[in-house]
Amino acid sequence: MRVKTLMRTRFSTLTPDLSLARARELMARERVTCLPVMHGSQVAGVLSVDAIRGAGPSVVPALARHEPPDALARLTVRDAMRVGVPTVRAETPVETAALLLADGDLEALPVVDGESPVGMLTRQDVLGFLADALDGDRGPGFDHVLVLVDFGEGTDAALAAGSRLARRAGRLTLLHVVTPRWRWLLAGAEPIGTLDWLVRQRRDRALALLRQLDRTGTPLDLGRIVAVGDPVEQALALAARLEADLLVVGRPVRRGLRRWRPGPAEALVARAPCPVLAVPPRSADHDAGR
Amino acid sequence: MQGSVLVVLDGRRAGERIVGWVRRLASGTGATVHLLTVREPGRLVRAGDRTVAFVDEVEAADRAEGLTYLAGIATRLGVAGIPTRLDVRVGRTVEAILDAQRDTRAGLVALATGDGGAPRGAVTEALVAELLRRVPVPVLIARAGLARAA
Repeated sequence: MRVKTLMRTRFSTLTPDLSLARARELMARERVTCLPVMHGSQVAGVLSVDAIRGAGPSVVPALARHEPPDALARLTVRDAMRVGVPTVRAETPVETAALLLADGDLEALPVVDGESPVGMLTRQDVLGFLADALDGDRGPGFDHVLVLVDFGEGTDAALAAGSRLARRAGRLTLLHVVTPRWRWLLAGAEPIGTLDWLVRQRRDRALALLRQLDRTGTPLDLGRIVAVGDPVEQALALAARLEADLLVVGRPVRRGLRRWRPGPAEALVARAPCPVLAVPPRSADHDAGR
Repeated sequence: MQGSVLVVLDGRRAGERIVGWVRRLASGTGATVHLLTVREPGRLVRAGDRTVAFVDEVEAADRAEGLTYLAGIATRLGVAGIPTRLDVRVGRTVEAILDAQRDTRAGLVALATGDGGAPRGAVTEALVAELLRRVPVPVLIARAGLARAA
């Protein structure tokens, strides 16, 4: 693979006379950790976030007190940039670029055409490529899929999708969460023991229903868990504890104004420790029709 | 997994994390991956009274740049033996994704949310919420800042 495959072609450049404070702002805005410094049309060096940090006030408060607070505004890119950085060409093999990054302890390499920069190759780009290569040896699918089951209209589709996406001989865990919605209504009148008994009844019934779902004849290592509490919180906690690779949740059909109210899928997407697959109820039919 | 997967990329590195997961799903299955990036409509570029670039020229340049960007991602998937197709669309992001899903008959839409400071056309949590309401097939979403990557 060549550098041109991984390099970034949209990037800003710095000039040696720019203040470090401005350079830091620019890098923060563009969410990059390294930018090339240009002298005319040639690459004069690179400036990294680490270099800016090194040039700024000490992180030790006692030492920082003795340094001017506006040090970064007084210093320029020239004072902190790294010069003599090797460059690569778009056709350079990625392996060569990786060695240059490692040997030089560099954050990024400018990619040049002649003397003009045409791209930037960062350590992060190369690490991503290596992760791809290492992961390529594994078979398709996810190691551990957690399916949130609510026995609603989306359950079948979610279960089918979860089974399909799990790796051969992987793990599929079905989770149902019993929500004691009526607890606050009855808590004043019913003894706690009765409430707990009701929850236990619902939990046992849910477990029996989960067992009935095991009709796929799947070779997967199938687990069933019934928890009590808020479905989103329980799913998030369990996904983290079981180190699930994928969380599958059905998307219930909502009509009227409820259509605009966020459901569990939206909440899970925002906070899940793994990717989330949101499955619409008719997805199984859709797949079958293809 | 068979059929095709539509992968939405907004040009930001955060969004590319989805590629690893898609590769994991699609490798060895024969599925075709459609890489889609959506650009906002071009605007007339003027300098004083003179028109420097017309809308179609701006959009053509945007499309070319988008294809170059997607080609890099496609190479990464191609190494894993996954057939890919590239698609650059101009317009409103949600509508473009829905159109692309319909056109490609994709059975899965995959995307990653960015980490804030999103430019126009980027995949944001608001966009994801709208997609979840409207896309008729499963949607695979990786949020920004996931501790574990694919």
